[in-house]
Amino acid sequence: MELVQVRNLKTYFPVRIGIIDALKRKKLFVRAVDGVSFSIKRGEVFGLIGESGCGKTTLSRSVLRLIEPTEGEVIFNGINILKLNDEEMRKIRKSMQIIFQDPYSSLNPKMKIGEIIAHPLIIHGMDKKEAKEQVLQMLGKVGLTPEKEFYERYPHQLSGGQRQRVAIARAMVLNPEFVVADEAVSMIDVSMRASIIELLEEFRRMYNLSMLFVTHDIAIARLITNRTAVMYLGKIVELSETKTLIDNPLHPYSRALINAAPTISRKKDFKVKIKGEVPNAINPPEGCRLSNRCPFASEICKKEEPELVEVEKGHFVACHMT
Amino acid sequence: MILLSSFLLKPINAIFGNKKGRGYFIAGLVIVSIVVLMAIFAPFIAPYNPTAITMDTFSPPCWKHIMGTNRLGQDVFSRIVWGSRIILYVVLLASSLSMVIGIPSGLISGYYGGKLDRILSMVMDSIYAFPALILAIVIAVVLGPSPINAAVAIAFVYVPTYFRMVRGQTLSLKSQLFVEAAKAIGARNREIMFKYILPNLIPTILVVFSLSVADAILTEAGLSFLGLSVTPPTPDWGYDLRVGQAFFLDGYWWLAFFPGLMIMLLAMAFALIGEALNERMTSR
Repeated sequence: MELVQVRNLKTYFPVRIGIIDALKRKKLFVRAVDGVSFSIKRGEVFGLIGESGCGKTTLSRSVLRLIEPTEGEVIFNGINILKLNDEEMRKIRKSMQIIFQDPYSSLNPKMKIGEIIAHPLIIHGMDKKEAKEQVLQMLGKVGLTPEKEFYERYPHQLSGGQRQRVAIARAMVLNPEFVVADEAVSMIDVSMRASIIELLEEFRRMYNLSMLFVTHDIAIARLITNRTAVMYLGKIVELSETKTLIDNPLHPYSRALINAAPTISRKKDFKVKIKGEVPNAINPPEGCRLSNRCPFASEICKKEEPELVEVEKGHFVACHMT
Repeated sequence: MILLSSFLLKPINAIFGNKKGRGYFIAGLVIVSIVVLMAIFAPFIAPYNPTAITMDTFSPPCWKHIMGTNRLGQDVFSRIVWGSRIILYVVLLASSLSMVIGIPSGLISGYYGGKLDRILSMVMDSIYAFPALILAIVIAVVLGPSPINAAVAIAFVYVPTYFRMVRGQTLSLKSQLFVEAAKAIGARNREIMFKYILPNLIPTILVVFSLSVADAILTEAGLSFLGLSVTPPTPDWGYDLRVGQAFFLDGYWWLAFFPGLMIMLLAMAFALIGEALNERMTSR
């Protein structure tokens, strides 16, 4: 049963242009997300990996409509949320939440921890007393004890890991069906990461949550995700079960990415090196977007954009060479 | 007394610790408190009726009249004490008015952006482009002389100060993650503006408030100097300064000196508080 379906989603940002381009009536866009489709099942953790600047964050915001997508559909529980008006959208937000990367700026410094977690409940119509009960319970669940003491504290009195627990509590207190975790552990001290991931996994199991787990850390993706998509320059280049993807990546970019992950003992070396930087998303290369960096690129790669095709069951790749 | 001062110093120490600006803040606060107390307890402090005309004219400062008397035989000290009421009333009314208009419009303008923002910013910038005193004089002349009209004129002039500051801060706070988080939990725009953005603006608003009050005091004095605020014989610093300066060269220096000194001290006190808070804010 699919909870979230993303169909051909595009998010373009207009670029401020010089006067000459303006006179030529040329409009330029950063194509941060350029036609992405995937779906997430109930209770599934869907990973999204890629280097910085590939559009992961924009995609994760667009799926929740925190950034207005340009085109496409996001179907949540059978409803295309991009068609909803403000009030309907506000209501549906109850069941779709986000945990941000940076716990230092995602909490309002002027609100107490208790108020931060209670506010979502109050917005959605719970009275203050009941909300406080729930918040205290939630604080216990995310391991911020003694609950009463943490309730009264301010964000600046907490460590990064504790703040992220607050952010998780704020997201989970509404009992959402779908949660986006945008690099939720990458700014947390390494020693705390495992416990935060465990916490997320526990919530997923308890409430049969679906998650979109955005990360650039392949080790973490392997730990928590069921399926994973690799993103490059606004497009998904490979999508499969996480285990298959890591053991047998088919796209040259995925291979290079997995190769680049530092490990203590490497079983396989895919012998792929991708040179250079990600080109800018205003003028992506014609044909395959990796064609200017790919060691296997041939003529067709420079002309035709490859489609995402299923090469084995549940394993999709967008590459002419596979 | 020692108990009282230690009680007052506690919050100051909490804000400033031993950081720079603590002395300024205390000095400013002491002067402002004295003037405020003077205004509140004027009937008990002033030794004479400030408007009573007597035969004892142009008396220099002495034990009987510590700041002397003016050409109508009114006690200058009593007029100073009572006059503090007018200046505080006009300036605080004006500042509250500018805040009530400037802060919400700045918030809305910065938060929503777009056409509304461009129009509001243009209007505010064009008000801001005029020299404050001249604009206030024009408005006060149009409205006619009275303390309330003076307050409205001053309020109008300082709206852009609040607007620009609040708008700028809102623009930068808007992109903060906790605002996006508020959107994600389904908060309404109104809630985001007033519960998430506004509380984070309060320290800056305090700074702008103190500094613009300091400025408004001088503007108020300017207006009443020109007779655009109170009507005689109501005691008022600016008005007394104007009357007094005519006799300055005749050697009756105390007529202009004391009102002038008070205006300067009060303006300086607010400026000190504002500067100290500003120092504290930016050095964090």
